[in-house]
Amino acid sequence: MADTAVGVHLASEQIAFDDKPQSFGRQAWKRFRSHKLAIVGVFLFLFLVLAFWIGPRVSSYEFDEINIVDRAQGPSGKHWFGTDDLGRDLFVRAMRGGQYSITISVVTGLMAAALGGIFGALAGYFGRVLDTGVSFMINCLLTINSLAILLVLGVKFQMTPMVIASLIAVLTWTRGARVVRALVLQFKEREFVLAARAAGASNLRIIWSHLLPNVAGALLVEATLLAGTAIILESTLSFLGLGVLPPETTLGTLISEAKGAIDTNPARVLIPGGLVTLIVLAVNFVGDGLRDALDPTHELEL
Amino acid sequence: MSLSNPSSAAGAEAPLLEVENMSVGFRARGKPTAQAVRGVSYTVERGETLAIVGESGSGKSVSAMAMLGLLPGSAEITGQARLEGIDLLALKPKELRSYRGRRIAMIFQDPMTAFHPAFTIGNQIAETITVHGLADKKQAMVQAADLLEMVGVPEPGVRVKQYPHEFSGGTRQRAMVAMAIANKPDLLIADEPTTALDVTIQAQVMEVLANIQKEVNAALLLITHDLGVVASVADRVQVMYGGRIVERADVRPLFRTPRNPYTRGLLTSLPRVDGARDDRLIPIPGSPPSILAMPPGCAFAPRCTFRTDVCDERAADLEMVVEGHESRCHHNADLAAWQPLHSGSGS
Amino acid sequence: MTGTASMPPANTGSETAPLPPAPRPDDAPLLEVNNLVTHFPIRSGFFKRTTGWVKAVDGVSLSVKPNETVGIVGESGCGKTTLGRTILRLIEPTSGSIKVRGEDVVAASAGRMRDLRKEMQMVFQDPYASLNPRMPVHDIVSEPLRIHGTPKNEARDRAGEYLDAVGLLPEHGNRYPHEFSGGQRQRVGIARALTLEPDLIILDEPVSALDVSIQAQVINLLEDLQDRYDLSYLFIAHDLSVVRHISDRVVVMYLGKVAEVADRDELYASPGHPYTQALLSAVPVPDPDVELTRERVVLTGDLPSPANPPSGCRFRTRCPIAVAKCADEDPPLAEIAPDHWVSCHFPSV
Repeated sequence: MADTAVGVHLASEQIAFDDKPQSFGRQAWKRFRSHKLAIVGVFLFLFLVLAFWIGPRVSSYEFDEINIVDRAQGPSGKHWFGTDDLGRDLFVRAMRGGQYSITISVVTGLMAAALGGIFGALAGYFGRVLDTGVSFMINCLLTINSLAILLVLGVKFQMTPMVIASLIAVLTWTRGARVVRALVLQFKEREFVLAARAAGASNLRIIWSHLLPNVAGALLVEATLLAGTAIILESTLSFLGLGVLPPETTLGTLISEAKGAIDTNPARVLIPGGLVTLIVLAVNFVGDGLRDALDPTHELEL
Repeated sequence: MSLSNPSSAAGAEAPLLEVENMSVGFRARGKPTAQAVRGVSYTVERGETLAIVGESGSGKSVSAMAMLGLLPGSAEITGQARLEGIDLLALKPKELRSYRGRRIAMIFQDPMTAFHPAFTIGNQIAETITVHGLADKKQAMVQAADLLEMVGVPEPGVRVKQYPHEFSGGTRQRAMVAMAIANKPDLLIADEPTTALDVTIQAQVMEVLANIQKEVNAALLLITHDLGVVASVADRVQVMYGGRIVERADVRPLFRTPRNPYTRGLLTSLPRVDGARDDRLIPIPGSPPSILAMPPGCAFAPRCTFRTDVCDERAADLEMVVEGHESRCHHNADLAAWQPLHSGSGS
Repeated sequence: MTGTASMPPANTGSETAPLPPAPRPDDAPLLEVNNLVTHFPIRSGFFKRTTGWVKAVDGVSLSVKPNETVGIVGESGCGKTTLGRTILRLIEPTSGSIKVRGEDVVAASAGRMRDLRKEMQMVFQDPYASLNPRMPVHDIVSEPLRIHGTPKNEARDRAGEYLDAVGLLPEHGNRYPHEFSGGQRQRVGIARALTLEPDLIILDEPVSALDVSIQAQVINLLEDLQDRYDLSYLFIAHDLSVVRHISDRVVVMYLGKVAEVADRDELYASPGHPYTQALLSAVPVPDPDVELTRERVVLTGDLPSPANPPSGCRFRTRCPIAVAKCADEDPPLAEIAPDHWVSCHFPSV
């Protein structure tokens, strides 16, 4: 049996590798690509973005161009989506509204994710007083009705799209924070974090290069789903008359303005309503795909 | 196949369990089917202890889970597993349930997940009795306490009313043994029963398991990676590697004169507490194959010092090398001259 | 051959602060732990008040000489993992001292601690949890160097050297942990522990998560690396066979305390503490002939909770030879033979 003696150097060992290093991102992208609805969501979202930003240039009308003669018309070759009570072209207004709705949702998602990520990571990592404080804040924000707060603030402030996005973000970051806090609590006890500490790594380094990369996926999913929530919240606000200032418009404002015309011209409600639905669907499809692609349990796959 | 044929057992009683050419594959979306078990045949006689030894991915657990219908729906199972002539793999789920816990009982590695956290231990042991209609609720609870006493749980009358989390790891594992023998099964399947336990507790549980098995005269199919446990309790051993049985023999010849390069490699790579191997260890190079990327021929060939071209082309058959000792190797003839391994007691 | 011998990748001098204040004799311990105590508070209730203490490590003393391997064995809950982590100050000790070449680690400032960390590194049990899944392997292995200010390219080159030293190909450094098998990952973890050129490596169950056929590879690797880099090991494990194979001296722990310390051969041949005897007899030997003739001391009962250890000798609740005295008096660690220390009122000699 002496001939079975093998040195410890197994450099010759065949390791069956694919062509490229399989980073988590690359694997996640592979999984995302195979998620059909997610791809539908991406294309739908891109299509809506293109439509909202290019549409107004194709049309010969301006979003605030009043044309009393053509007022309150249904869809036609001249005005594709019809006109409102002031004769403004509803196609251009719907596209303009879509721009704001999408901007607000994306900005809200990013801001809420940033806030949630920072507070969640700090609370989870440092624990103790900081955790108690952040958890208290989270619980407070979860118990209050964000719509009611928004309504009160809406009366108080000038509602520009940025203000709306910020307010929604401030009221909804807790979801991401809870996810991040839970994951950080779990990951900070992992042995690779201990190994970094044993090598003398600073807290900042541990959070930045060990914890955040491991929670980023979950946070991205939360941000995406939040973006969907933000569109609906914004529409609700606008519908209640607390949206952006006229003559600017969002999809919610368009629905609100069309309230009275629901019997005579249902398309005025259905079109912006349908667009809101499409955006939310697209965003949620992408969110679902991301969740499947970034699910950390995939790491342990054979 | 003829080796496991009941007719070859010359007039003796038919074996309790006959597994014939069982294969198990897992199909995952966008991936090749992972073949976890590849044509396994064996028999278990009444009252005997057969150990299945293997490393992770060898298919040792999967083959047992398949018999009990405990694999996920993505598993594709072929072959037969006959308990006294009835093919368990062909049974409907409902029919199989009437076997599970009554004729065949399973002991799992982690008793924490095997017990429901919200019911008392006594309740759960009684449940396995009443579900088969073998006693009413009241009798069953009395039996549950008796069973706990049998496996050496102190104060069984108190413990039956406690919940799983109130039991320590070792006591919980005893309770699982008690639950498994509740209906005096013919076959006990223990999947790494002591791997999660400390050695002093492991010794207790193995002792209880061996005694109780004799008491109820059940056959024990012991699935483990721990060769020490195998040496202390098994009658016969079969070694699995890459989804196949590579060697099978009675326990003493298997440890003394292993005939398969893998088995021999395992035994010579193990450090021993009795100091029989204090000099440098002789490791097996490389790693066990992934079930997603099995070598085309002999699964052990890439790690084997006896590998020749034929090993890469096709797997060898499981051949009888000496009476009662089978090995799956193309070089069986050459390896017959191997010296027996040193026994610790002899040195 | 003191632990100051330099290691192959040569450029150590500049950033390593000169640690030993004066030249020390060859047999002076590299690591000296004295009466170390680590208690964890049990908090409960709304105000998280401390209602008790888990006495994970409760007065442990041990030493590791240069180039020596000291094994620490014990069952789960005996405090061996906490002990290892406390020595590295991953957990703050409650009291006691930890000295590395005579310098107190517990009293070290944050800055000094960073330097001291280069002297002691750790290899962890779980090869799946101990490598960051989002980092390629050369970043994992070179991170300790980066933390201590080595430029990126140089750190990466050195990482390649250490990957080679543990039997991996340096060009596999751009791969991610999940692309490797358990044994290969453990090699990566060992390479990471080597990069700071420590004198002492604390190995916490380094092979227990590996397949049987892989364990011997890693054990042999550890032995080779010890010779090549003049390392000292503190080898923490529950597997008495592995500990016997690799250790020069062995420490047996029970419920946060040291039950027995002796040279390897002495401890396994003539264990003095009834707990050690029970442990040794409980380990099954992979040899049916030996198993047939062995006498087994089967302990009754379970490990008591470290939050509420028994009075007197902690082992008395499971001890086959316990008497009334054992409940009253905690036996001190006493030398029953040269370099053979046992904490028992009635040690077998």
